[in-house]
Amino acid sequence: MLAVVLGLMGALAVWMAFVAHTFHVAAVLDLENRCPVTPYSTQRNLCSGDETQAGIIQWLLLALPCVAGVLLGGPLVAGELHHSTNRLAWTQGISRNRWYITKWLLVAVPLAAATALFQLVANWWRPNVNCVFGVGVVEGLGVGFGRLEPSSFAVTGIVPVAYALFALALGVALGAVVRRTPWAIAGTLVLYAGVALMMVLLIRPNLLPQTFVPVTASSSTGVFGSTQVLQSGSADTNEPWLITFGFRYQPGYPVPGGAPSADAVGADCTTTTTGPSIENVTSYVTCLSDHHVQQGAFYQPARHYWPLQWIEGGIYLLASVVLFGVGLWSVRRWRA
Amino acid sequence: MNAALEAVGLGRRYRTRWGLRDCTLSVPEGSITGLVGPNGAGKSTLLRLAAGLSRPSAGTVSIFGQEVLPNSTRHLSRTGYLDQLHPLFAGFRVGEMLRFGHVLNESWDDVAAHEWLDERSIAMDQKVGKLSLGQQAQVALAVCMGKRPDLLLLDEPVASLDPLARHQLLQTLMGTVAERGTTVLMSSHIVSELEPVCDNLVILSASRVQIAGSIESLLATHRLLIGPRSGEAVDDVTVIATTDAARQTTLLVRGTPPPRDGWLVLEPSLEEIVLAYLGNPHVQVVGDGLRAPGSTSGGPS
Repeated sequence: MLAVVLGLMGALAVWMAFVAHTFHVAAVLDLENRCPVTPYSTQRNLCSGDETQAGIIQWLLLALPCVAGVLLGGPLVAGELHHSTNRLAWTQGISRNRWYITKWLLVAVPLAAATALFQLVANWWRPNVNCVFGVGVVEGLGVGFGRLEPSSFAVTGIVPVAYALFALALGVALGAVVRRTPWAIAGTLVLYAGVALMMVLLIRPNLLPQTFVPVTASSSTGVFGSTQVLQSGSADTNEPWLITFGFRYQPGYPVPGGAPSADAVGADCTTTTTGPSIENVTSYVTCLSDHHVQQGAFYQPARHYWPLQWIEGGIYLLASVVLFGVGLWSVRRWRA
Repeated sequence: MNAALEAVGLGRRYRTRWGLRDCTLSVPEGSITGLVGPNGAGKSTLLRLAAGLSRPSAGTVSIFGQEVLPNSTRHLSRTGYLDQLHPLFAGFRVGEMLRFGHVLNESWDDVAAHEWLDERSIAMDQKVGKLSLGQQAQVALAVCMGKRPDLLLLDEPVASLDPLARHQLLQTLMGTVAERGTTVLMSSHIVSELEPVCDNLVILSASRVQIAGSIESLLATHRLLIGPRSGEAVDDVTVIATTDAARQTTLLVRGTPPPRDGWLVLEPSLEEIVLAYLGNPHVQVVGDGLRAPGSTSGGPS
């Protein structure tokens, strides 16, 4: 199984090189066809190549640590229990503890090493096809620009290794508890996806204090102003992770007790001024400032990249250690 | 003579029922003991508890004076356990299976393990998954024998073999065992298979030991009584089984009945004794205990 997983990773790497090559060739052949330089990136991107394949690869990169971990982890204990080979292993001269720890490490070490290596491949690959992910920025949770963006954050730095070990530990622990490989694999996929979604939507945005940039509405830029405010090029706002547009009370304003939240005030102003539209911008802005509320963008600045990587990686590794313990407890406890 | 295996009040409870209950048994060193009983009687449960694969719900089991605890390795080096499924790693070659045993055991007799398979013409480079069931049993047994265990726990060791192979395996196994003085506790469905090789027999039914004793004493203490179907009580003996025919009654009893008019006293075969017990699973008798080979007196010494 380890060979299969490593083979899949190798095949993916070759495919990535091939796709990157199509982008390169297209760039050389068609020098005129250049992407606009996105304000989010300092790089000049060449926009051509097989974007469909690049998109698929992007998803595979996200799924890779989980798939590799679960394929190795699910059967590690459950497979032996299913075939009763644990009865053979547990009646030789070594303890169940040693059996479990050895098996776990024999898989975990190559998995972590391969994932770390693969992370380097992904880091090389992304700038080569970057324009695919540098365009089409959606307000709020943008699509892939800057390394803090979820799709980029998850495949770079140290977190892929932590994800893979977590998936492995989850698969092993579930397999040891439910004793069935298919259930272990299915359960791990569902739980892993749930945890990953919760992490990106609820936890990661709040791991470090968010930065707020006020955005002034005007008749020329629209009610929500312009996202260009984040592109102004200061070190802090270059390649940020834009989390949400929202409201806050003006700094220094003593918020009276029992006052509604800034979000509630913002929503109220939006309603009472008969909806945000260009015609009503003035009354909307007045309403907000009457209530000492600002509208703007909440984001994680680029300098938070490594701190967030370490914190999130640490959380996943801690969870892996706990799950390792759950598996060990289950192995010690089970009758064979 | 010390006990190779000693169970005291040993029990294992599964979710809703007992797999084994109140099992008190002392297997003397060097003896060969057969476990008989129907499926689900607790034979495998007893063997798994002795191998440390299962944790007792009640009582204790010790091997050579040391209590067997799961997650402890003390008992493992002296015990060889053959599971009834004789599980092997299907993707391994035969040689790799032996290497597995070699690496995982402190004392390992590589020559003996290889010889065991060479004698049965099982090549080292064959894939385990491609072998016949009988050959797989042989490989599993080779891994067992490579440990040079002092106590062999064999769960249905010959169930997957053809009659000739069964006979041969038991003969060679017992030859090796006799040479080394190994204690053997083995289960089987078939009494006729156990009788020629075993010193002792333990009959299990409905999770309990019905009787445990040497084959010799079992044969000596049981009688078959055939007499008129009168319904009158038989004194001085314990009735194990009653079979009524049209005019006569056949009783299998424990004890030696005094002679009586109209009753015929016969010596039952071991198989008849076992069937009588298994047909009446709730009969439990305190037997003479298991005997070490060569000792002539009944009871543990």
